[in-house]
Amino acid sequence: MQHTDPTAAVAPSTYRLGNLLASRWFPIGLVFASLLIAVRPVYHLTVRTVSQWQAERLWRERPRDQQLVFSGDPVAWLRHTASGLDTLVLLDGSEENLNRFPCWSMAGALPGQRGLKIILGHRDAHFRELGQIGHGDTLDLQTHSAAMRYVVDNIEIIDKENLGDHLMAAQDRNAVVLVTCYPFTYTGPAPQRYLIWLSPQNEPLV
Amino acid sequence: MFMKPPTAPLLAFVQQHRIALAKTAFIFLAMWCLLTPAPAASGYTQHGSAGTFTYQNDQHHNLQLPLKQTKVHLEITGDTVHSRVSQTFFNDRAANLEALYRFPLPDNATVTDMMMRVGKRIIRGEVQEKVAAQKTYEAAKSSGRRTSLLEQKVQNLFETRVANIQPGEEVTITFSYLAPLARTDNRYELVFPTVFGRRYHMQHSLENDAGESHYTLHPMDNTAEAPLVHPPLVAENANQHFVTLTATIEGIPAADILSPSHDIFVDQYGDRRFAIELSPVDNLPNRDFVLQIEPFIDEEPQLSLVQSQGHDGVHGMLTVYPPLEDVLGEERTPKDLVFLIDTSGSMDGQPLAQAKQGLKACLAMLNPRDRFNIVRFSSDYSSYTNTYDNADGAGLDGANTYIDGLASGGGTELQIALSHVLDLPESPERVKMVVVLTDGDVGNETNLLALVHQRLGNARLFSFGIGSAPNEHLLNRISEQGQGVANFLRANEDIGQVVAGFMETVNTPVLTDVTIDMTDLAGNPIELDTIYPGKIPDLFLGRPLRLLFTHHQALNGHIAVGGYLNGRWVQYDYAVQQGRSSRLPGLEKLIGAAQVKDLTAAYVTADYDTRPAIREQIVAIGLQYQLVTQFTSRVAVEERLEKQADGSLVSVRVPVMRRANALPATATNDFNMLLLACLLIAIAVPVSVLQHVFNR
Repeated sequence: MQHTDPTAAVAPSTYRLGNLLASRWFPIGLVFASLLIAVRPVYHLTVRTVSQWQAERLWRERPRDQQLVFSGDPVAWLRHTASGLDTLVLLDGSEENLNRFPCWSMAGALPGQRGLKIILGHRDAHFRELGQIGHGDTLDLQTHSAAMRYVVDNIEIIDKENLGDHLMAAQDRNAVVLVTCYPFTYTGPAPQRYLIWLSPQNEPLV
Repeated sequence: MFMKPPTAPLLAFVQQHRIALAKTAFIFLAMWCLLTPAPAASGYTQHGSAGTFTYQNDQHHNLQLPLKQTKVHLEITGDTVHSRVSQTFFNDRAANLEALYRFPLPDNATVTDMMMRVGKRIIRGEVQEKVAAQKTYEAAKSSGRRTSLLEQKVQNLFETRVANIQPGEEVTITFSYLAPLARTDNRYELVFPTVFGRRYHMQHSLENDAGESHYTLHPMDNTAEAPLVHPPLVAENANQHFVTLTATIEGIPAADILSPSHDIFVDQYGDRRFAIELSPVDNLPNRDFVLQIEPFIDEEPQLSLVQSQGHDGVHGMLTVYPPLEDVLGEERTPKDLVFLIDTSGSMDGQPLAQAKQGLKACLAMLNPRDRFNIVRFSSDYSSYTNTYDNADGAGLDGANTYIDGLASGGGTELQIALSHVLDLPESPERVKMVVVLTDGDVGNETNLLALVHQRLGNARLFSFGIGSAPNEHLLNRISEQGQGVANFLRANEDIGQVVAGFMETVNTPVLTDVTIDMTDLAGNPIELDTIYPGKIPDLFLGRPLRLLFTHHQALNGHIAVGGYLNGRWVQYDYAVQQGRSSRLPGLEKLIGAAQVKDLTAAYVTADYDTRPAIREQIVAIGLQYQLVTQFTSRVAVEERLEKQADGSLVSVRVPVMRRANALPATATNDFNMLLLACLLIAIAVPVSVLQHVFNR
C-alpha cells in the first residue's frame, strides 16, 4: 500500500498557518493579548467607579476659601433629576479628569466669570443621560459661590470640526453648554457633537 | 504503520476553508475600520450690526473700536455675487488690545480669501491638508505662540480675532465672499449691510456730555449688568465714517437697475454689462444698501451665461430658468408615495405625536389618483399593505387607524427598512416617492447614502426631520442623494403649513432626464471639456438649473435645454452671442466647490480600494482653489515683516490656529477595547478546544 505524505500537497504559507493554529502557544498568546488590551478599559472603569464613590466626599470637603483652583479640583455639581444625571464637575477637560467626572473646560469662562461656560463629558459614561434631556427641562448647577437653576433652551448637533467655531460664536454671555459626542451609540470616534444650551432661570435658588 | 502527524487534520481543515477563514479575518478587520466623518453645515444665523470690531475692557464689557473707512465692491455675475469688503479700524485706546472682528454673511456664502494688516503684520488665511494643518497648529502651540487667532467657517458669520493691536494702530481687514444672488418674483435683489458700528458713534456724544469717561461706554450685549441705552443714530454733521460702494453686473439682461434705499449712478457697457456706484452725496452708513435688478421677462426661457478666461481655459456658469409656470394647470402625474415612519425609542412622546400628525396631514392632501403605503421601522419594520393602497376614502380611513396604533420602542434600523422600501415596485405611469419621517439618530450615514445611491432607481426620496434635534446633516444629504428635498417639523411650527409646502414641491411638474445640447454658430455640436454636476439634476418648478463648466474656448452659438415634462418631451432653445470673456476669479472657486461636491458623493459610494485616489483628488482641488473641504482646513498664518541688519524687510511666517477646537474627545475607547479583548478570547477558546479534539 502506498502512503503519501499528507503535508506534501499543502502550500508553505498554509502549512505555516496550520502550524500556528495547531501551536499550544497560539490560544495562550491570544488570551494574554486580550488581557493586555483589557487592562486600560478595566483601569478606566475602576477609576470611574472609585471616583463615583468619592464624589460626595470630594464635594463636601472641597476647599472653600482658596484663591487659586487647579486642574482636577471639584468646581461644580450638576443635577438633572428626571434623567438621573447627578454628578460632580471637575475643572479642566483633560483626558485624565474626563475619565473621572465631567469637566468644566478651560476653553470657556471659569465658574463665577462672565462668558460662555463649557462642560464636557463622555457620552458613554457620565453624559449618557444627555439624550433624555429635552427643551424646557431645568438643571441645577451648583458652584462654590452660587446655586443656579438653568433651563434648556436649545439642543444642537454639529460636526466636531465646527465645534470650536460654533462655541466661539455664541452670543449669550450667561449660557452654559453641555457637550458630548454624538451619535450616542457609535463605535469609534463619533463625527458629531451633541450640545445642550442652558440659560439661567431668573431667580437664583439661594 | 504510517503515523498521522497530529496537525494534519487541522491543516486539511485550514486548507479546505481557507477562503472562509480569510473572509472571517477580513470581517474582523473591517469591523475596526472607522468611518470618516463628513463635513457639514450647521445652520447658524447671526443677527446684529454689520462689521463690528470689539474688545473687552477690565469690567468684561464688550466695547467697539471706531471704524474709519469701508470699501465695498460687488461683482454680480449671472446669479452669484462676489463681494470684496475692506474695513479699517483704529485703536483709539491707550492700551494694547485683543479684538474680535465679525461680519454677518448671507446664507450659503463661501469666504474665498482674507487678509488682515495690523501695523506691520500681515495675517492670511491659508488652506492646508487636514493633517498638515493639524501639524502646523501643534507646532505653533508647542512653541507657545498665540499672538493671533483666526476663525472662519462658521456658516453665516465671518470672524477673526486679532491680538496685540498697539495704541494708535490701524487694522485693515479685507476679505471676499461668494454668495448666490436671491431671485424673487422675476427680480434679483441684493442687500448689503452698511450700518457699521453705529454704537460707537454714540460714544462721541457721551464723551461730549460726560468728559473723559472712557469706560462708561454702553455694553454691546443686552445681558450685561450695566443699564442698556438704545444708541441714537449719529447726527449727519458728526459722522466720521463713509462708505464707498461700487458694483459691476455681468451676464444679466437687465431691463432696470434701481436702489430703493440709496442714490446710485448706473453706467451701461453693452448688452449685459453695467457698472454701479453709490452717489457721494448719499454715503452715510445709516441704512442697508438694497439693489434690485429687473431682467427682461420676455426673454423666456431665461438663461444667463457667464464665462471667465483663466490660465487653464474658460470657466463658465450657465443658469437656466425654464418657463414651467405655463404647465401648472395640467393634470398632475399620479404618484406612489411610501411613508417610512420612525417608531424607535428615541421618537417616544412628542416627536412620534408630531410625526403621526404630519403623516396624517400628508395623507389628507393626496390626490384621489395617488397611491400610498406606510412602513414603520424601529429594530424591525412592518408595513400597512404589501404594495400600495389607493388614496380614496376607505384607504385613508384604514391608514389613519393604522397610524393611531403606532407605538414607539426599540432601535433605529433605518437601513433594512429603507432597503425594503426602495425595493417596492415602480410603475412606469406613476412617480414613486419615498418620504422618511425620523429624528435621524442613526450612525451608519455612509451606508445609508450608498444604499440610496445604488437602489433609488427612478424614485425620489424626501425627508421630514422630527423632534427637538433632528440630524439635519444626514437628512439633507440623503434627500439630496435621493433627488428630493429635506423638510423639518419643529416643535413650535405649524404642521399643516410645513406639510402644505412639502406637498406643493411634490406636486410640482418636474423636468426630468434633462439634457443640454450646445452647437456653435455653424451648427456643429460642442462637447464641453467638463461639466458640473456630472449628472444634471431634475428641475423643480421655479428653481433654477445651474451648471458650471470648463472649456478650452469661450462658448458662442446655441444652447438647447430639453427634458420630459409629465412624460412629454419639451425643449427650450437659446442663442448665445458672446465673443468676449473676462476674468472673474470667483468662478473657478465655484467650479472647484462643485468638483468637490461631486467627488465627495463619489467618495461616499466608492469601495475601499478607490477611496484614497478620490481623497487625493479632493485634497488637490481644495489646495488649488483654497477651499475648506472634508480633508482640508484653514489655518491662519501670520507673516511678520522684520527688518534685517541691512535694512531689507523679510516676512517671517508665524502659524497659529484656533483655540477651542482643541477640546478633547468626549467618549472613551473603552468599550471597543473590551470588545476586542472578548473577541480574542472568543477565538482562543475554540482554537484550544479544536487542538484538544484533534490531538486526542
